[in-house]
Amino acid sequence: MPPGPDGGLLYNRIESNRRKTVAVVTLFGAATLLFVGYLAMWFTALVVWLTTGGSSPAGHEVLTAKMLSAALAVIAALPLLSYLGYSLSPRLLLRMVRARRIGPNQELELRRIVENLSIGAGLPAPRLYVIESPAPNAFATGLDPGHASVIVTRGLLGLLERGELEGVVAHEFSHIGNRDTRLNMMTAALAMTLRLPVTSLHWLWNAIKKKLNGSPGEFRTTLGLVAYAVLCAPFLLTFAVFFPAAFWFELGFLGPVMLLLPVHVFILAPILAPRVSRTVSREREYLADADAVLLTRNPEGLARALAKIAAANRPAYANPAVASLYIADPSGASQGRSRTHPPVQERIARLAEIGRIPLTVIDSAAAAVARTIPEPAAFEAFGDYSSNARVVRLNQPARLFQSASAAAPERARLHESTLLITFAQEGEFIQAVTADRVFGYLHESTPSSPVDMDPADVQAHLPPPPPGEATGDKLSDSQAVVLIVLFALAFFVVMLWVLLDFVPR
Amino acid sequence: MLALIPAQTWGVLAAVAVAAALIVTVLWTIYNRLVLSRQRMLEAWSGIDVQLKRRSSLIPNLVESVRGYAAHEHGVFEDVARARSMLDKASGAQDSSVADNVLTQALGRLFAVVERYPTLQASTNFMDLQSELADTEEKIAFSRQFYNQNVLDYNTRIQTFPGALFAKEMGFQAASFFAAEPDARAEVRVDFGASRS
Repeated sequence: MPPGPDGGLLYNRIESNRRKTVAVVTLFGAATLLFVGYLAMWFTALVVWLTTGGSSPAGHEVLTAKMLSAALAVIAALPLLSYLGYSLSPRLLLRMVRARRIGPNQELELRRIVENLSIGAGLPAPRLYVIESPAPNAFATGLDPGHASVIVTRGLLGLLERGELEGVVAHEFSHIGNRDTRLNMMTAALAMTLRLPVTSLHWLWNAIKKKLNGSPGEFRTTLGLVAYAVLCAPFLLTFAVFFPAAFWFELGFLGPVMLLLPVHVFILAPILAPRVSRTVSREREYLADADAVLLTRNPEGLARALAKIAAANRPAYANPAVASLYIADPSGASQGRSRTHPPVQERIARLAEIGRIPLTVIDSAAAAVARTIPEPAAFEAFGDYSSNARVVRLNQPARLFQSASAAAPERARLHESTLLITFAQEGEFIQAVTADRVFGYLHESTPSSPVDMDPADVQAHLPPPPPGEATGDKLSDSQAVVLIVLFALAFFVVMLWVLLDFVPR
Repeated sequence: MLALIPAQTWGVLAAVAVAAALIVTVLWTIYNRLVLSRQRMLEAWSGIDVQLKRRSSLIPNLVESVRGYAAHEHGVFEDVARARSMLDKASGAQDSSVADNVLTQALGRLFAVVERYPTLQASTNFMDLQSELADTEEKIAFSRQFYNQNVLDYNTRIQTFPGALFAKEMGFQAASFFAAEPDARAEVRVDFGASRS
């Protein structure tokens, strides 16, 4: 085994990362409490005002007490909402990406790696899944180590050597052990809550714009849209202006603070929330890298794996004709990893620093992978692609090779009814590209049926991209609905409790 | 009778009671945490034991498959058998780690014999056993690592505040890391190059 990393340095880094996360989450929590508290107070005051015809018969003290209690009640409901929100997600996600459970006799090398790492980490072995996609990627789901799963793609298994695969699996283990999925889901739920007023305003604004542009938009009739806007306006005005002003007038000293709260709700919180969420996510990635090294004592493995994955995911084609046909964003920025993950170069640099590995070692590994992707120049010789491009659907499973020869290494294994864009013929092989941007050579004898589709539309048949290494940075629609319904229920309960005071006995 | 106790004394009694309750709670928490740490360490140790036993159970098959090709190498087989029975009889951490080192060296000699028989090296049965053994060695390494991490945690807890104040009285002694003995570092690293196929 190579000499271990400097223990002091690594432990310090892990400790400081954990401290930072706690600090950030605490600040986040405080911002949310302020936000929700103000919302609850305003809502209570509004309800009382509406039901008593404009004045509170019970006096200011009682009103204030009720508002504060309402704020506390709704704050207490938040953890419940978050918990319900994130407990739904792992199963949904696995189904969404069509992950297949790995049987006890399959993928023995991966199984061994996972077993051995679980001994080293002192955690139960997670369930294993594979996605039959050529793009190399891996992620972990699960709320706690007892109910966790690790998912890898076929492309990853083919790309990495044993030491590198071990590093990637150790990274996922660290996510599970650090309960990062739970953390990410909580911050995502909180971020969504904090953005709620802004998202609804944004939605309203878009609806208005669409109506003005003449398209049907969200509302069937203009009348409906106007009615919605008219209903919203008083709420917005009381929320942002009248309520704080009334507070100031009635209570004096708390007034200026109350004026700040709508600013927090509409401006500060929605801007800060996604940033905080991203920062937490990014720092946890660094932490998972460090913990993985602590587990495997092999920083080079993970560094090489990261370099290889980055090289393999880089689209190699600068040719605009090809680019417009089969990928939306040739610069590679749209992989969805940039939002929640730190840049790969920075991660590799930190690992190299820990293990004192010269970067040339890692660069050569990445270069070796990049070499397997055909150079753009190879296409220039074939002229204009767009006229030759056709869409076909395979009638049986087939293999894509790296070059026009059956002796060439395999780039991908395609299942039946995969959509392919084919270009020119080269000997006995046809150049082809799949919906998820894998280029290769298909043998001409493979049975396939032509599909009447514009090649640019093939991209719409992409399988949903794996979301990256830790899940939970997005809530699905059903989760959002559950959260909103429960939130509304909480308000309803509070409103009832306030109104009970005014029911004649 | 309670009414006879004046109000000030009630106050003092209450304060004393609260202070006592606090002290008890603190001591209780410290003790429990140290016990938890020690238990985890013991469990990690038994994890190593499991892997050592697993290796031990692979040995007879290994010896038989080599004997099929090199029956005349009696000395080596006896060494291995002796080392194995020593490990099985060993009880406790010290004996186990010594016996483990002896067995490792005996296995090293066994594999040196195997080097001389290419047909044996190529047989699938032997290759399977080889990869099983390699896997077990890896598992032993990982379980040792986990044990050492637990020892680090435990030792730190009994040597830093607040555990350090009470550790001796409560009966917690420092534990030792599972370090390889100096001569065991010369463990024969047989290159299982064929196993990644």
